[in-house]
Amino acid sequence: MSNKQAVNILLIGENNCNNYVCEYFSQKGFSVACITDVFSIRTFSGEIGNFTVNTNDSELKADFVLITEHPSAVYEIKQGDSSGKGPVVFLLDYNHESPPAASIYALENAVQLARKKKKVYYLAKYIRTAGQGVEDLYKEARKSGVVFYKYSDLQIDFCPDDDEYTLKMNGLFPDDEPKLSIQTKNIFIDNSMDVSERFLNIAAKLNLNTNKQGFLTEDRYFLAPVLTSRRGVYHLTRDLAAERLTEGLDTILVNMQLYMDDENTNAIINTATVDGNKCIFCYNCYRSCTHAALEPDLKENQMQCLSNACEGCGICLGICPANAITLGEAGGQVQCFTSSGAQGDGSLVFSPLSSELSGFIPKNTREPSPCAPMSPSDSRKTLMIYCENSGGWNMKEQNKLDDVCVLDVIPVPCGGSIDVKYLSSGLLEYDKVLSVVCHDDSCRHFNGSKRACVQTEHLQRLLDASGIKTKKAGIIKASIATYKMHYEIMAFAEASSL
Amino acid sequence: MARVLVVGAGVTGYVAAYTLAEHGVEVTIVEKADTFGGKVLSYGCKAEEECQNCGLCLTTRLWSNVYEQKNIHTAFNSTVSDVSKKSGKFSIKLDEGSDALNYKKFDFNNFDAIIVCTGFEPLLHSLFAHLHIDCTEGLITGNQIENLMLNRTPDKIFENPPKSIAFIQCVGSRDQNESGNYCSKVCCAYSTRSARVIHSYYPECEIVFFYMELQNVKGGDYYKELRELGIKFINCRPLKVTGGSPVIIEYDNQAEGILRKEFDLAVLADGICAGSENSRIAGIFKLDMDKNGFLQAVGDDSGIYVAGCARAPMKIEEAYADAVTVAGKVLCQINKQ
Repeated sequence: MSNKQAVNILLIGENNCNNYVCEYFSQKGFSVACITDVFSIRTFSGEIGNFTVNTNDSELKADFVLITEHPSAVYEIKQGDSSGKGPVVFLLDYNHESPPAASIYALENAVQLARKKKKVYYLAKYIRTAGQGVEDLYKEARKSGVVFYKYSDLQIDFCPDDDEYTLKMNGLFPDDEPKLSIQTKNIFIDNSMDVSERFLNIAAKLNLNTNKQGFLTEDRYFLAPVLTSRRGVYHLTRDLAAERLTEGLDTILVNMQLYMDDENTNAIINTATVDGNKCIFCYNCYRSCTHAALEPDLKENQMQCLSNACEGCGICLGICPANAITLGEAGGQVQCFTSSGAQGDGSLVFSPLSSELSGFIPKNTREPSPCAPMSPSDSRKTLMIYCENSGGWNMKEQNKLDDVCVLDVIPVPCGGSIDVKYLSSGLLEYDKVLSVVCHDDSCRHFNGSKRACVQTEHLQRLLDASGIKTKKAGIIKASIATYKMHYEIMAFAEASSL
Repeated sequence: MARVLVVGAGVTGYVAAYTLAEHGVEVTIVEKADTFGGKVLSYGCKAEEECQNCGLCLTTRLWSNVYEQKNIHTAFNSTVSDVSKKSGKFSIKLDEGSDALNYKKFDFNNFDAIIVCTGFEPLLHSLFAHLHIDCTEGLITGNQIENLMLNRTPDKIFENPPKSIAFIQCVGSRDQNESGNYCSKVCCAYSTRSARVIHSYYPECEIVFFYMELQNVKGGDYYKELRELGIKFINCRPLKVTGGSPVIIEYDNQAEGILRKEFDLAVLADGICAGSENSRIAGIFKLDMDKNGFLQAVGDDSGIYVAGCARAPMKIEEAYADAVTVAGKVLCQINKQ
């Protein structure tokens, strides 16, 4: 028998703080439910304001989702026997700064042990810089006599007969002389940046973007550790230490309020629309969407874009082989506490290749250069397509391209929307085509700029195979914070393609 | 409609203002300079092939986003002289000569909250004293190296490229005898990133770092990679730096005693200090100052907040995040009313 329920906020994960979180939101008038058996989640779909979770025995609808599951065994620092012979060693053997919660756990215990007159070492490759509630702990640790040591290479030997560890480590640089050697039975160690199975399961079922190690990522995650790649899905414990729980919840609440405000029509700006007549249901767009905004509509046999989840990047538009996707402005808010819904008015920001092939962008969205008009088919004009988050944007905005006659420019919301079919049809009208996108790690939609690079390389191979000069197609990766690519753009535009 | 005053139109002030405005708050910004941007406008992106995660690109669209936001009004060439509170709302007075006094559109009464984002100052020259600098030829500061990065072209950074460069880290900080007894957090990052850029332009240039401690910039083998590029690291603080052509650095590397090395250029990688006006600002806004001169809010519900480098040394993305967090606190305060 299926159990159906609808709540404002759904918690997913097993955590001691779940009760606190429930209380926090209940007091503010939200209804809350919790799923602790994360493996019981069968399917997860929908968008902010309208998520649907199916578990083994129930169906839950929620406006927002909050993941409270810890990413990994990071917080279970394995305990040695601190009463044994030798100093107590806290070894935070991460390849980066330790998570704040791990540092805090280690420091608090180190301080307690040092106060009991034990000799305590705190060893780390990268000692977390003060912040996130850790400053005072460092001071206390130093006052109580904890010895801090930064190492780069570490060797641990274990002697089973004595049940004792020997740690040998050098200083900051690998070829420094071995500097410290410790023998002890008492070692608290953690290096497990492995993400737990439970967490990986959540990330997979919820279709969330993760990095190579499996941790959730979001554009510039360090700015907003509570956000994930999916609007309306939050993650509470990623980098937040326990005492910052309330602050984290406050931040989440503030973000939720953006979408609950009747008067805020800026919450969702652009959204994609799939034309059911053209869609061939190939799932390419579904696989490419890093914001989980595309879902199959099995009744209509087409993909549909969830307008409240869409970030308007256009990667799906670029990748669609049937040109079935357009990008337009959305108005309105998320439908949860409000009665209004999203309305698209269909005005085009960027449109795909038209079937007439008469020009791959309608001429009224393309910006011609301001000086004496040169017909595009005239020998040396270059078409520059630039991502609005990249250095191409500030080139245009700072009017550094005003006097340039050899360049026409088109903005796109993300380099990922650039596809070889647009670049090659650009070459029907222009002598050269140039893409300007973000650096690999700085793409706001995770893999958009990489896609632009792959598409450009693809075009270059096609040109080469056809006996055409590959320098007709180029790509420049430039951060929005720099201006020096101005020279590279001009060099490209002015170079001969013969 | 709730109203908030933000003091300072740098990254922190603008991010806080923008976050609040997005939630329907009316924001007035007061800035002493004649334009927005603060320090970050003079910093340069240090990506060559790869992004270096410095956070600078977070700021570029911020200026136009705020400009286009109807709920934000910025008053330039203006400073606050007094703050008073009546019935839970703040009113402020401006200094004579403030440009905002010439415009009727500004209303400086009835603010629900104030956020102070007055930023920092680079190292005071008095703190250079321990380096016994006699002459400053051939010496540049962190800000100057950032400028060089900002203005570099694909072909060159320097007009006359130096053949050897020394980076002197932890200048004026981490010393119990001086007021800079803390880590500024940003110098290891900007220096090593700049060194990497310099190396890619001028592979033959000898680059040496004099350091006390090296902070985590990026995980993994960041410093090992720099070593493999040929950049040298000497773990000591120079005893004496003499400007000139060449710059002479005398240092003690313990194993060999006092050594002397010549460089074409030396970068004094200075950090973040409390603004020189902080005590005046603390008086006006009734804030505390910590022992290093940084501003601190008093209590949890005074209605006056501090964000960004005004309250502690921070990296760009930390200041950004701090601004968002403090804006969130202000929103929670407003919603409780």
